[in-house]
Amino acid sequence: MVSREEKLRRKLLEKQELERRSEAGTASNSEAEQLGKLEAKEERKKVIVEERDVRGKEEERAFLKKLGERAISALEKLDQKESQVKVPVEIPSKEKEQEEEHEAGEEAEERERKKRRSESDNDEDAEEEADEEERRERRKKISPEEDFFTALLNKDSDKKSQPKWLAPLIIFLGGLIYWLRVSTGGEVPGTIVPAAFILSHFIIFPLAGYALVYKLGRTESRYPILLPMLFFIVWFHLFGRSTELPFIVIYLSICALILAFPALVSKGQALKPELYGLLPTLFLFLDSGLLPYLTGNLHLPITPLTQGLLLYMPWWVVYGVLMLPEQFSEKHEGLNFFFGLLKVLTVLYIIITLVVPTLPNIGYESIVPSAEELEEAQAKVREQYGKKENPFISTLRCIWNQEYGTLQACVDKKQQQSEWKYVCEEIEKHKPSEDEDSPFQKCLQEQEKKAKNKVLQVGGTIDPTIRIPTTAKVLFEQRKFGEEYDPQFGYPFGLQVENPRKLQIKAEASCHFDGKRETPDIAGEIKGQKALESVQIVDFSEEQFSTPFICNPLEELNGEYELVAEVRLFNLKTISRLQRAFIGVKPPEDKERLRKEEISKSLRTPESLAPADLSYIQFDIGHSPKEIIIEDKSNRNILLKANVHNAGGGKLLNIKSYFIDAQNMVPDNSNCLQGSLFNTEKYTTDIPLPPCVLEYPSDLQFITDWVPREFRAELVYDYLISQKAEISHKTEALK
Amino acid sequence: MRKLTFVAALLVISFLLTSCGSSSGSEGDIIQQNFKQGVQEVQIRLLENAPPVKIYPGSNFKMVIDVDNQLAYDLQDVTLTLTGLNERYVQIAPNPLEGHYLDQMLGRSLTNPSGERKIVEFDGKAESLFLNAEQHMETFFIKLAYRSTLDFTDTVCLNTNVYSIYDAGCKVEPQKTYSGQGAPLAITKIEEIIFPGSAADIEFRINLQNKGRGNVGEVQLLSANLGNDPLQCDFRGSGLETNKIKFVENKKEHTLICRKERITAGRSYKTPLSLRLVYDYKLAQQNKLTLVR
Repeated sequence: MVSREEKLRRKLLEKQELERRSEAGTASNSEAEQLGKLEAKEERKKVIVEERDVRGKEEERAFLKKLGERAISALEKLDQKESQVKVPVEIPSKEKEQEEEHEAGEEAEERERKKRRSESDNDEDAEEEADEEERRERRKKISPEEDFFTALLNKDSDKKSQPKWLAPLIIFLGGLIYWLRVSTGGEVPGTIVPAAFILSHFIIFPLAGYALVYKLGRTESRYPILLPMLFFIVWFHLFGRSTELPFIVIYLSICALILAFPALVSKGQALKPELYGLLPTLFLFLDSGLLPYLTGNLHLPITPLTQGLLLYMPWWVVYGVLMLPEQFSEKHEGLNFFFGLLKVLTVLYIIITLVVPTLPNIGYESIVPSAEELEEAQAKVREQYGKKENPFISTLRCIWNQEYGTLQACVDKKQQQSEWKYVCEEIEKHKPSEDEDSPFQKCLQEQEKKAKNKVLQVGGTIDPTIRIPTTAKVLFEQRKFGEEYDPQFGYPFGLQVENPRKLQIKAEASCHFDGKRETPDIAGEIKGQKALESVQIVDFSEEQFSTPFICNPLEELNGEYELVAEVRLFNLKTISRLQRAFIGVKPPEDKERLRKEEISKSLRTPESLAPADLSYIQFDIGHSPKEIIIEDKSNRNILLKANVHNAGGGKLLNIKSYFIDAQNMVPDNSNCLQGSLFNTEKYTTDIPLPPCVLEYPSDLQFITDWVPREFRAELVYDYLISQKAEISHKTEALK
Repeated sequence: MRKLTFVAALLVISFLLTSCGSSSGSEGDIIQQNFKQGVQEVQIRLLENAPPVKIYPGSNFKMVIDVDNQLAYDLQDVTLTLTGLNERYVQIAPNPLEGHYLDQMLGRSLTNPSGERKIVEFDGKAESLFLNAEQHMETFFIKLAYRSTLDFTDTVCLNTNVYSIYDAGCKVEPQKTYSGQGAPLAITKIEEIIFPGSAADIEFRINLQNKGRGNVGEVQLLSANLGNDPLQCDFRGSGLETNKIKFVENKKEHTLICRKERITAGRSYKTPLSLRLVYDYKLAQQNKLTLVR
């Protein structure tokens, strides 16, 4: 077998011989012809080589151009992604580019060499082989994951950039939910539509998932992120948050199997996105009230840290800020600055809310609700703790006053003061004033006194099972009556009462005009068929009752007045309840075992419960405040403490009667169980009732187990509600 | 394509593995089955709709409880009570605190492989809800108290002549573990310690553990024998009566120490170690009752 080189050498020698003979004139015709053919062949080869050279260079140029384009698009993609997301994309760096160019050049040379070899043999297959190799190399540059998902999902592999409106929309909606919860308890104002719940679960949650998809740059492989979210929503809403063991095992197995499928076929690449999919789920739970549920139902202690997280963390806003792109706008630097600043402020807010309360202490000391239960838990906690100032603001104020050393104590004090201010301003309706003799300051002093008076410290909570309490409102159609309004028409106002328990109530309406500045007060009268001595009395027992009144001034109005419309409601009745567990005589270890394993699961609320009526009794029975277990021990007293809480924002006129059913527990002072109190208007909030010591019930002395008992306290009272309107009128003579 | 084939194969294999299981015991299997192994408990179950999922105020209902003894031992003095129901909302007859006295329930055995089951009924009446409440939920506990026994038998090797090289008898196992004896109380470990000498002593340290969901009360050792000879046993941490011990809330295991003194020296040999204990047990199961408007 003759080698190629040998063949070439022979041909060359042959050609040289023919040329020599031709020059010498000794070549024959056939030899001349052969020489001519050889030269023609060489010419053709040169042309082919040149053409191939050009084509090769063009192809090389095209290849390099495409490489460059891919590098540019990879760089663009990198710009769009967040720095924390690490996507295994090969970004051709400068050195890499040069390397690749060098490699491409070498490959092109190699191809040329191959082509030259194929030219000399006239072998077109080698050329095709070289081209095929080129195509294979280019195909290798596409990642296996892309290739798989492109095939599987039949989608384009172009990576879309995040829609700019998505993260700001989440921020806006998150802020709206936060405002709804703070102002109306999560419902659309004036209705019972659970707007916060609907927004959070059905609008923001899917948006959050898509925002995450774009943020991670996984538009073509979004399903691993969205699948865990879908499973959660199906479990939460379709399966009713079932936690039965067989169901949970089967459901989780099916979910794991479905989630394992993309993870397996992508060689684990899809596992991380699936874990990311749990992030929106976590935020949904946090926003919906997971923490209030844990504290309210599982009784985790509420430290200042928890309080901050419970009430003042707008979780979806935080999420939206996290989802903001690095560069929001290419044209408007102002917008970029704004969103960048928002990110910084959010992080600062989180740090201060989380870190500062833990400075002297460590956060927690030691420790599948429905969405309604979560919202209720949040509303309940907000009702108890939401009257205070945002701890973040309190902290800033303390820092501003340079109270670093006792920062936590300063924050606690500011919180307490803000709660007193809320009570005096919002509930008692006193105008804030620095004057020490003003009603506002007197109210603050009473609040402080109350904090020190332990009897008044008995608290209660709203009964979540009673959705419709007994309430009443006085309403003006317009709050301002200007000069154009003729006082002779009278000033109309209405009474609106919710009376779900169909109590027999008597209402007495009256009004008066309080002059502003130096204008004298003027009495008013209610006109109507049933009016008697300037007042009108109505009796009703309907579940929903409303009636209008017209107030007329008894003298001519001249100046500016505050029209005060008042309605006195008589014979209102409210009942509160309190649960306790009686264990008789038990050793301490048995007592603690019963508490931990049974009693705490059965009796969850240590405070008294009452509907959110205008007024109700708050009371406590036990060895110590909020102690649920009562045992028969001669060296431990059982104390009953109670007060009447004014929750309606009006005035408690009289306590016609109060009665506490002590369930066979004999008191040392019968006044603590029943009595009455009149002219209670002077009390601004809670009215103390006399305390007493109770005897352990004889029928529960020798019990082998534990027995739950529910105490009830009934209050019959008269209440005053009022509303004000601004009146401005000048007589004709002075106009 | 290869990937899809792999996944499909994996699914088929998983299906086959989960669907195929051991067949239920035939007669021959039951005869060979030793019931006195593992941890078994009494199963308590409320029958469906007894009580109903939602109860209306003023209505009557029945609470039917299925008690199934899955232990390998008979139960004595069995009492079933209900705790945690507030009489303001639910009235139960008979008195739930006194409950039902079921006396005796047979355990699983060759003649009764499934154990004895008893159905207990309570009559209930729902009272009114508080004011205009929408609903009220009562969390209560079904409690079962009983007395039962625990038998343990195993063969142990005794070798008092530890210095002997050419002993073709048995090998002493210093520690043996067990999964249980068919009851919630179980002997989980036995350590054998030999004090060699011409008149050797042998000590067994027996670990007793509450493996069930309930609470063990008092445990009393009735008998302990090594072969035909009685053993001298004491519970560690016991009071004056050393053959009794009480399980307190935070302690789920105790150690029983049994000794045999002055064992005649000789070749190693195997002999049975048997123990019989009696104990009180209480089991509580949580349930809910919902009254709706």
